Amino acid sequence: MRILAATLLAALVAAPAALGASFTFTVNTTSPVTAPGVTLNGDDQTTTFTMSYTVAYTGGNNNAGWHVSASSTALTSGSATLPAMQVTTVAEACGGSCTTAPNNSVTWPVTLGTTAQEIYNAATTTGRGTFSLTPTFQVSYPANAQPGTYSATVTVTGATGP
Amino acid sequence: MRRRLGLVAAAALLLAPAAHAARPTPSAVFGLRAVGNPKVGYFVYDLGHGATQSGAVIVSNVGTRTGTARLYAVDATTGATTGTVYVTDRAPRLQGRWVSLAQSHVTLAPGKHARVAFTVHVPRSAKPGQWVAGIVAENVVHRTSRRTKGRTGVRINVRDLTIVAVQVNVPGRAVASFAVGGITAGGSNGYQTLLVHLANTGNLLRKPGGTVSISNGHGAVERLPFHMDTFLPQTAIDYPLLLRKALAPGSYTATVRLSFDSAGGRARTTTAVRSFAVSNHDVTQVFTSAAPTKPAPGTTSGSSRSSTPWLLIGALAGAGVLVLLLVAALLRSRRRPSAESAAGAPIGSSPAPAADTAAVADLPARTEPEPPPAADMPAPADEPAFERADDDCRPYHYWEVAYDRGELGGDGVWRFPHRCRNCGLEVLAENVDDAAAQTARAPQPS
Repeated sequence: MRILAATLLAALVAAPAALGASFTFTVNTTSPVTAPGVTLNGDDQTTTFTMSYTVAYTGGNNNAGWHVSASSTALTSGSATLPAMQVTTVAEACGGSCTTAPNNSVTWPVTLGTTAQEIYNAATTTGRGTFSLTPTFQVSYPANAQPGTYSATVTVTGATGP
Repeated sequence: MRRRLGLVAAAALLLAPAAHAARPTPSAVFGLRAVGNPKVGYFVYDLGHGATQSGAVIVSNVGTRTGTARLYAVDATTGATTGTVYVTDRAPRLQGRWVSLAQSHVTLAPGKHARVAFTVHVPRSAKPGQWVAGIVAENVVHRTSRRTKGRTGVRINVRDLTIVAVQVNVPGRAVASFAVGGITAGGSNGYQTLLVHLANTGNLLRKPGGTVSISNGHGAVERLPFHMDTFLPQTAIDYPLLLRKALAPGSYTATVRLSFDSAGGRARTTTAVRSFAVSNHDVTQVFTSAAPTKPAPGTTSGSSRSSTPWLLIGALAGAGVLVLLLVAALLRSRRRPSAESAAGAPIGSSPAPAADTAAVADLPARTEPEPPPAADMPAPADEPAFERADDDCRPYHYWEVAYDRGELGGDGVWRFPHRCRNCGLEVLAENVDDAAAQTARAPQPS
């Protein structure tokens, strides 16, 4: 019986390592995200909004690190457009079972375009555990912006790889 | 007892790979796990020309609602800020085409997982090197969009993708090499950048580092070290380097030193010297608060916008009914003296820093706020009285901004000395609004 228990315990300990790393990426903010509106007044204005992501990099051999990337279509309202959004910062916090904090090398601001680019990353052998990320997006309204509701699609990607 | 222990162990085994992703509203959340490649957590295959490899991913729903994940393969490329990113808005054209998934969709209840097989087939025409594709699990959700009413707002639809990489190492001669292209000035919203065109002309994944040293006719101006994330082979980017000190309009030389590991693992450095210029328009584009995409009317290459506060001009117009009327008209055209506007503003007569002077100290060419059209900016009821004395800083200061002494803060925001012409109060502020906010919090000078 003792042997069986020891075997099971060993299996429990070894299981994650044997199964390898598991990676999940979650956007917690409900889509669509509605950014705070502004009243156009002839001045240049900016507003910001945040999203909430969860990155869980768990299991055994979770050594590769991970990347969070974003891209965005143009902000359009009919034929009117706004300047590209910028990610001005990304706040990180441990969400649980964190063994190694992410070592991020991305410098902000990052201006979003249609091609994805990293907005946060965890270098190799870092970012082990479950982490909450809160990026801040900035929307610019030039003085000559046209009134309307502007729409865009932001594609947010969490990936593990080289 | 044995049965109970067995159940506990089985449950633990099942739960072990699942992530604990918190989510406020019930929804499906999909995780990916690379089967059979536990050492790195993603797939790395050494495959010869024409070879085929089978693999599998485990898709798990760690959310709280049944959902469907769309599964597909994508190409990888180098992101603008380096790092492996994936091209998810079009069908794969490169290595993503090497990957074929057995299923395009999988529907899972909460806590369930499914094994999805795939194959990687390397074409006979494939070139040697380290190539990357991705397997995507995209949460398929259909949500109704809302519209904001009454105000100008933004609605962002969000796509949520989880990706695991598939790296294929095709045997052959390994080459690590980079090319340095041209350099251009860029930036927006107060952040001046240099865009350095770089290309990984080899066939290996690399994470280069290096420096860009900027000089002009007067000597060294700035040195920018950088550390890149993964740079994929046969890709090129315009790598943005954030300038710590703004560059004034003029001509510069940049020496780019790029360090990376050779194919044999030894350190190697590529050096290139490139010339670039910063124009008035470049600087205006960056330091105008909202970064208009086009130059303001009247912008010319040889002029810059005024650094004299517009309201100050009115105040200096002096006494007399006619002048008061003029000032009144000007004052009524803006809600308050610190309001900023850029677009459509004419270029003032304040000279831009000479191109041949020391670059760092001469920054400016920053656009000074101009009054918005009077029709758009009705004066509030509590408009300042015209007879306000010059030495009275209430309710407003008359800011003079030293754009040539800007400082880049630790938060990446440029701030400039703002000095009140009347009371001499000086604060370091992002703009006149910021200065006004700071002084509103601080005691007023007597």
